[in-house]
Amino acid sequence: MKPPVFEYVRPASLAEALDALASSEDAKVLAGGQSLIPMMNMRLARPGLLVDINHIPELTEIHDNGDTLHLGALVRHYQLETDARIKAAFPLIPEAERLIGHPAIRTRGTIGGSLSHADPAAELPVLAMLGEWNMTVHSRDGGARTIPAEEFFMSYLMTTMGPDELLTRITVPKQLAGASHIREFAVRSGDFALAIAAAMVSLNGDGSIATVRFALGGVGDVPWRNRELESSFVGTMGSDALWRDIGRQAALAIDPVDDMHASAAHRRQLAETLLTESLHRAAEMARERSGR
Amino acid sequence: MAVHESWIGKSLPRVEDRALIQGQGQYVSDIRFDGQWVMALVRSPHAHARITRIDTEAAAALEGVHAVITAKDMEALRRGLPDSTPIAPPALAYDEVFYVGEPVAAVLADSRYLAEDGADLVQVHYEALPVLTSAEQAAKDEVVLHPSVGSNIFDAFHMTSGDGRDALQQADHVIRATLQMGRVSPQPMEPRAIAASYNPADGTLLVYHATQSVHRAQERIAQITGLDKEKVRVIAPEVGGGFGVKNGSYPEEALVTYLAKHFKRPIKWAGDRFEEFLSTSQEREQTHHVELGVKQDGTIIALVDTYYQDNGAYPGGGAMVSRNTARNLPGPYRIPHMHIEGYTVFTNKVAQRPYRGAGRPQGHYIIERMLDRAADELGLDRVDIRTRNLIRPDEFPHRTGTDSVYDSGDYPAAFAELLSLIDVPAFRRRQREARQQGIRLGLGLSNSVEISAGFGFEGVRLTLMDDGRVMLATGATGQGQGHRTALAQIAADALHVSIDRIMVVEGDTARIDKGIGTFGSRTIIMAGNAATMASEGFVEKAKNMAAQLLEAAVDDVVFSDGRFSVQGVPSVSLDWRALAERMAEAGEDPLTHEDAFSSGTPTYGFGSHAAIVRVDENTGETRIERYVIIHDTGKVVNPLLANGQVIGGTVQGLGSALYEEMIFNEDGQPLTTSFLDYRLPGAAESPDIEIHHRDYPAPGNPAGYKGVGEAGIIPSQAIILSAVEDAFSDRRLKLDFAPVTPTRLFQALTRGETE
Repeated sequence: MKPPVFEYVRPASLAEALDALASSEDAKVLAGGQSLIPMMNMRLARPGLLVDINHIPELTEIHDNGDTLHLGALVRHYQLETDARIKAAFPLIPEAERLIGHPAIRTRGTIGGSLSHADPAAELPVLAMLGEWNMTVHSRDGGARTIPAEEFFMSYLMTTMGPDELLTRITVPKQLAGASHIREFAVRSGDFALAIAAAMVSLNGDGSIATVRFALGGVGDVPWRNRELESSFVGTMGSDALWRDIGRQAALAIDPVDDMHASAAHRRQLAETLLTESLHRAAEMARERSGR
Repeated sequence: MAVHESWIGKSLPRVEDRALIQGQGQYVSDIRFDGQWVMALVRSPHAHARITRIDTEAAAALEGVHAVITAKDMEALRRGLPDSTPIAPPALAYDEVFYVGEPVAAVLADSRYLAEDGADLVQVHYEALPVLTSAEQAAKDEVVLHPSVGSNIFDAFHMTSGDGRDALQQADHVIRATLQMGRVSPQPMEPRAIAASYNPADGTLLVYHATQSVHRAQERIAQITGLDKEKVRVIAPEVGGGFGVKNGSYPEEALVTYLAKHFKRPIKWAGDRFEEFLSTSQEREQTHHVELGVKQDGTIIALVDTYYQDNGAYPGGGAMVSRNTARNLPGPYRIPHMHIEGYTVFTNKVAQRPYRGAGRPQGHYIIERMLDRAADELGLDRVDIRTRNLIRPDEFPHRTGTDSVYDSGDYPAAFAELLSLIDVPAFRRRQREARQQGIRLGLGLSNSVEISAGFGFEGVRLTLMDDGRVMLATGATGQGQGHRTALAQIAADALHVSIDRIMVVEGDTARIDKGIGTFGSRTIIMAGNAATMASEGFVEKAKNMAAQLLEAAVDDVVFSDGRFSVQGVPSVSLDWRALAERMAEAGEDPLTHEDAFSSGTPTYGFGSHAAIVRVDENTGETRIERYVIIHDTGKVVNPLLANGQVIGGTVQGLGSALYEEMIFNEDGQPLTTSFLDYRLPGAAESPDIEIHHRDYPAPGNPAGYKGVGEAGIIPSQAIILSAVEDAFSDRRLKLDFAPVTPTRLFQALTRGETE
């Protein structure tokens, strides 16, 4: 469990980092190293060049932009867990963070690393889908472009970023109405979840649904969300029966596979259970918040 | 008689802790010989294949790589390792590999990084052969893995007591079940490791070894290297857990020691976590076809069990596990008639060898699960069927029919105490009420006997040091149990000194000539009694010396309260420090005495466990709400350490009940080879465990000590399956496989494994 030979650079600016990425066919970005370093030690990842972005100050910034929050790619999990601005803008982030790994992992690991790694059973990709985050990526030759979450995740551990592109900033639209909740089932505390469900609900004055969003993780090759299904419930009266119905419909719409940790049927049941609970709790909080 | 403080019985924190917690412990991986080469291994990626060619040139040409060795290069590395019958694995696979992870080539380099780079460049060409991944399939011998053995079944035995199988006819009901235990990987915190340095000038080999038995390692290494045993010194420095799998031979031991001598270069191998998953022995994997004959009232008439142990590619130590399973099948219950057939079978996985419990949990799992099954089928209470069949104190000595003679304790009283602590009627009410709200609670109960030691010897050598402290050396090498504390407590009492005047040295063949080691919960029983015996002899020798120095007759010298004085002249006396000083002044050799305790009588501790679980039907999650133990450890030296053993064992058993399983695919590839996929229970998963002692000194040894290391793990797997079933008693859930992971429980609940 020692990595093969690799080159290592530690750029001090974004421009230098992009140069380095463009200079090599098999460069990899080192942020928190929580997935990449173990994979290198197992010799499952063999980058020729490691570009350590930990010393680029602009990537660590947290910036309130009015309707949105800009999070630099190097913002670490513990900041997502504890920063008051983040909690105010998108309360689901600190809630989800408590489900991620252990304190040591959250101290090193970064938001950009988690999203770029694109593990479908990780929490932040699910939130990115649910919250419709935008990823800003840079490359030396292509400049900057913005990729919405639903176009960002391609497959297991694969994104639509090019090999010379660096995720620099995540734009999180503030959650203005309603309430949100996340549930997951992991076999042990800190494990990757067998399934994750996140929901965001806002209600009209009469208790009917104004907007509803829900996303699932761990049930396919990318985080799952279906806007068409969501919009079919708008205007429907919120009720336990409805949450169960949405849970059931979502569970039927996903296509999980069997693996050694859980059968597809088990994952489907987990998705249904967790989503039902998540919607129920989000609606309950939405009602409390509006004083009904 | 003067009164001195008794150290035995005190809950002292370990004297070892300070250094270990501060990171000052020296493990094999901390050992660094000048000019050492580091070894990495090329391991087989196939579960069964023929090696057709190995290309080593590219690896050998890499800068920093000193040698690349295959079995072709050195005849000695093709020979079978010591202590393995009827067949022994070679140090390096020669023409065939039998499991994923089997060493094929060794790369020696300046660092582990370079050695792994070299290993990457070794090209091994394989021709795949048929793979056996199931013991019952392998037992058919359609493919025989080791033709020299003749069959994949390399150990088969039958054991009959009473009227054997015929007695089933006397039963009112015969309960039948096929019960299985998944394979587990013990995973000590420190992976296996060994470092060796050969001195060509005097022909000695110094070996630092993460082993549970330095003396047995010394014998094997002498055999491997061709050196006289006296020329081989084996030291086990700090060892980070063993659990049985750091006992016995492995290819790496042969490779490091043989190559260190061959190249006259210090060589070190510190296994990493991946290697620990691939190449360190595993355990538990068995399938039992059981019949339990019972009377209408639940009285057991007969147990008939035929089982298969998936032993992996080599013997390992698996036959002992399989036979010990048979010995443990009765548990603490009266079973007049038995017929047991055990088959230990080669497959294409890494070998089994004894892991904490080593057959004890397997045997108890079967009888406990069958009692649950019988109670359910007969409509009896799971409590009552146990009470009815528990051996009573008036039946001691009780012959089990499986070569054990239980001798002490009160099983029914312990069980009754457990039931009252749990308050079973109150639990049943709570369970009913909870079930109405959709919450599933379950109660699991289990009784067990821990059969410990019962063979061989262990020695203790005491030496008076210049400063008057006493060095206690033993071959019973520890791996974190706290021997340096517990043995010091025993010796401190016998020598009337404070515990800090005793320095315990474990695991160094230069400090004591003979020893067996630490496994099978034997150290306090064997080395503990030896410490007392050696102390007595040591005091006698000291009296002689004191008589000489005080110019008195030996018979007039009195040892009291840590001082030697002449009877009638209490003003003139020597304590240990003064004795050491006076001896040094007189030019005497240091006072030393060695004694050993031998015993063929095992100890029989026992315990009753109860677990209350809460199961989430929708997710399949099982949480342990309460865990209570009534425990017998005989005479207890250090309750804190004894309870630590019980808790640690229990939690390891809970791991194998709920989380831990080595999964192999149909090609024999292990899929769970990291802590991401192989789930050990952590602090968050471990319940608070209440332990209540009912200690009955062992009648079979002078001090009354009993084993404790395996007590916790014996019942804690079966009990969780029992509790989860109880949570679904209305649906008559039957669990036939451990661990009951969330996904397995989901399958059992949805696939009609309920009625």
